Amino acid sequence: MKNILNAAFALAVVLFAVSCKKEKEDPITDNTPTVTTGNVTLEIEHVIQDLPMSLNQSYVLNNGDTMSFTTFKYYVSNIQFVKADGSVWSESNSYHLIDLSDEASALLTIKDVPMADYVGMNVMIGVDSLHNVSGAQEGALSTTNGMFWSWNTGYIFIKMEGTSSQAMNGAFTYHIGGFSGANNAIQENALGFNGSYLMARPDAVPQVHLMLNVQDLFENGIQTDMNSMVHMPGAAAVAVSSAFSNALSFEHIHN
Amino acid sequence: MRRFFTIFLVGSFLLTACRKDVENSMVGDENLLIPNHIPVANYNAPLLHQNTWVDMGRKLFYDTSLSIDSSISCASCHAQVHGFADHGLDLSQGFQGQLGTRNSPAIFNMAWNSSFMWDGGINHIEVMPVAPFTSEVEMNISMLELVQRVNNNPQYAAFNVILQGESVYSDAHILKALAAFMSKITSFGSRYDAMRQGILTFNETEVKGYRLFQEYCNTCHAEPMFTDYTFASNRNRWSELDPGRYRITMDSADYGLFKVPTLRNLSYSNPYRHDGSEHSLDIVLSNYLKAGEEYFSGDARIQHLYALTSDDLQKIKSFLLTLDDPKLLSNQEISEP
Repeated sequence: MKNILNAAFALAVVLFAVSCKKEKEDPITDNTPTVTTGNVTLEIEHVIQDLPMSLNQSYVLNNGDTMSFTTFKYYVSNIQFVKADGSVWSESNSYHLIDLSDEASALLTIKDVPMADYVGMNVMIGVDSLHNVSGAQEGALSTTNGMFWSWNTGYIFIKMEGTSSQAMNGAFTYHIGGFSGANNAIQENALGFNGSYLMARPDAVPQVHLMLNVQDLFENGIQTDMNSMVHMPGAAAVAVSSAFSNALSFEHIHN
Repeated sequence: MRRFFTIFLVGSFLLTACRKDVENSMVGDENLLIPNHIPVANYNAPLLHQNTWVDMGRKLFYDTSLSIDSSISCASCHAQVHGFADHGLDLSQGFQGQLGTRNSPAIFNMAWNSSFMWDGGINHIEVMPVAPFTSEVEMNISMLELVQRVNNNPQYAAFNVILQGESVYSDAHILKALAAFMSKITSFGSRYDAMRQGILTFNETEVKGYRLFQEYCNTCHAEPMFTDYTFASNRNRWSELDPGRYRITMDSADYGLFKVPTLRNLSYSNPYRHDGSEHSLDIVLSNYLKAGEEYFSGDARIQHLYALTSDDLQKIKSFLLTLDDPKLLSNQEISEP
């Protein structure tokens, strides 16, 4: 019996050592000699009247509204690429702030994508609920980005401000967020590549182009004449984030 | 059978061991002098154990340059001498003397909180300071400006909390340092705590007061933190001008409700209530005898309090005074550096 006990204990100690070491091991150090990943760029084109949208420029929409944007920022997070068999690869720490005042922010580099052919992708507009309750965070989720509600904790997922001739006071403010219950404004968007393949390779940097049709968003999604100010979580915020997500579509891929 | 039991036993021990490794649990931390009758803190700050973070947080807490006109620090409205509440003011004065709308709470034992502010709108101790920093009537500084000021101040360079691969302090560094320091502002040195530890016994009045407290008050002001962290009102909540918790949830059931405050250190932290409208403990207590339209028309949990007598209240008061912790006011580890 004593031997069995000793054996069980020794085995347990070994298991313990192995399992605990595994936990601490950095996956990056676990690389094999051959490179099996590549980078992918993801470009989001913001389009009005078939042209790239700029801040502080006046646009006349088909509904007669004359609009301009002073602020246009939003979070793209939890990016995943989907293979034909339905399996997915998820970008780690996948939080990106797109800010039209900084053109480069709409061009993301997704690093270390495993070599494969992908048929689609998943993106989240907003920040998942866990990261709305996780305290102080770095990078895109820093509180210095003007996308954080201080008094009612949570990220502003989408921030759009500007002028609209149809809005009651001639201006609109959309600060969209909310991560719980009926006020959950997080949008998960599955975008198929319409038969194209994203070919992630070690020696190539393929480009995925998405389009955010801002014209369609304000002609058919958001009505500035009905509700030109949304600045807290609620049904109105959910409606705006839903329309925003619907305005995002897959364009094409350069492999 | 015994073999299985052994394996099970060893297995569960290992599971526990592994988990402990990850969680950085605060249980049994001798540094913090948390007595056994106190539950595990809600915030298990991994940085709490590293003095350099706490020291940086302490400097930040007392640094007036973190308000836009360098006039006030966190400590201006959360003064150690008042149990980390304001200096007897109903409402606090922020940037250019502007008044807020709520009484500055006494911020000790914050690591046990599950939410912050009178309306519970803030869900994490690390992001709590963003509200007073950026409020136009408080410190009125942008987080961007604040980060720049900290990085431009050579005194902060000495703390060296920057991790490998980082060159400057981020807002997250600053906020985590503040959270580490705030977690050190604990208060468990009262006569009540000593009684719970068997170090002293209450006198007869205090014993009677304690029994009355347990019968009438303990539901909301639950031992040993003396709050259950829920939202409630001891008045007619519909008469409140401040919507309270409703501002956060937009649920009419929450209109006029505010966080149940702790009853520790009441001698130092007056005035009371979310709006600082009750200036003495006697006023607060005597209001509980006023059953009627203005009082008690809200929370069903206090409807029975009108049965108390003035004599009962005095006994309860004598118990409440056992919750004062003078060490909170004299602890030099959390005083201005």
